[in-house]
Amino acid sequence: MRKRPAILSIILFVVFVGILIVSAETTSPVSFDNISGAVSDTGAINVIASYYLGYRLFDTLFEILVFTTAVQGVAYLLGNMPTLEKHKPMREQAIIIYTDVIFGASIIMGLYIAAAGHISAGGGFVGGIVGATGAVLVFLTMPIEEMEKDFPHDVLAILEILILLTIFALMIYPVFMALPPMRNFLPLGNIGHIISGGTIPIVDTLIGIKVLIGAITIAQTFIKHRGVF
Amino acid sequence: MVYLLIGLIIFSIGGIGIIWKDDILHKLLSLGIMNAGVVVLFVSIAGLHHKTPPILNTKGPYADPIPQAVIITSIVIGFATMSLALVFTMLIALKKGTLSSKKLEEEIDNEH
Repeated sequence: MRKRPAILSIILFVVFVGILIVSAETTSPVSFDNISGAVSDTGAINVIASYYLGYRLFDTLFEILVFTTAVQGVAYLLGNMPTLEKHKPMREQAIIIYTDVIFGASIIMGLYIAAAGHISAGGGFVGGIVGATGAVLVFLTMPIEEMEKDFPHDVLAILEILILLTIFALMIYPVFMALPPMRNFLPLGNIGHIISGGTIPIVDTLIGIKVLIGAITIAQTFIKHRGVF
Repeated sequence: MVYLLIGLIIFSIGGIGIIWKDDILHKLLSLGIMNAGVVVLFVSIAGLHHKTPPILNTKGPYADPIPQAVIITSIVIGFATMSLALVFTMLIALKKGTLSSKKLEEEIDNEH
């Protein structure tokens, strides 16, 4: 009895996908032989970074806001749930040393990817997630009390909000220099060098740290309130 | 072109899963698969004609940077909203004791 509407909606869905195929085939080719205009505008030789931190910065800002809201929602809603009583982390010397080494390496790797987002492939969003993968490994091998002592939840939350405010302040500051908001107010510098592109690497690094903290918060609350094993 | 079709196939698998599956957890996993399909679709549209990444230290012609710039944030946002949705699923499981959407619908119908 309930199968009929499901079949109907699947047929509608397949028609929708077919329309997508047709429209994707008929899109006219966009030629990007010359990207030096975007590079000289924003100072980032990675044009994707110059789009999402230059021309489309407004969009990126509010996506950071969506991310913050989701992280705070997870922390608040899961924080009221019962914790697992018997939590048995993997306490073996080899695993502890291995995960600690991976943790340090992944944090450094993530920060590098975030800070060099304007001169190579990568960026803040990717870098933060790369750093957080190592943190998840460490959390799996830690007792909960030790995890809460090393990564205190309130400090992480305050740091996250501070970074968000710093990003917004960087966006509003050009107004006081009689420029439009979100304008790149720092000198573009030596294009192609790591210190170039004005505010782009700064905002990229801040986004990287923010995504790192958010992902750590999510992993921590999920492990604490549902446990592994 | 092949990658475009692969993206659409992944997207359709996710969409059919959302419609067909009864369990809310399965529906959420299908939503994640659908998200991955959209990412593959955008990246393949970006590389439809040229595949060189649009970074100035390589030689052109380059791939279209705009779809990639649009989709780069959605990966992390998808991860965060997915975890929020999982928390809501946990709340439903705690409150109602079931994750079957059919049973939940019946229960809501009976309440009114």
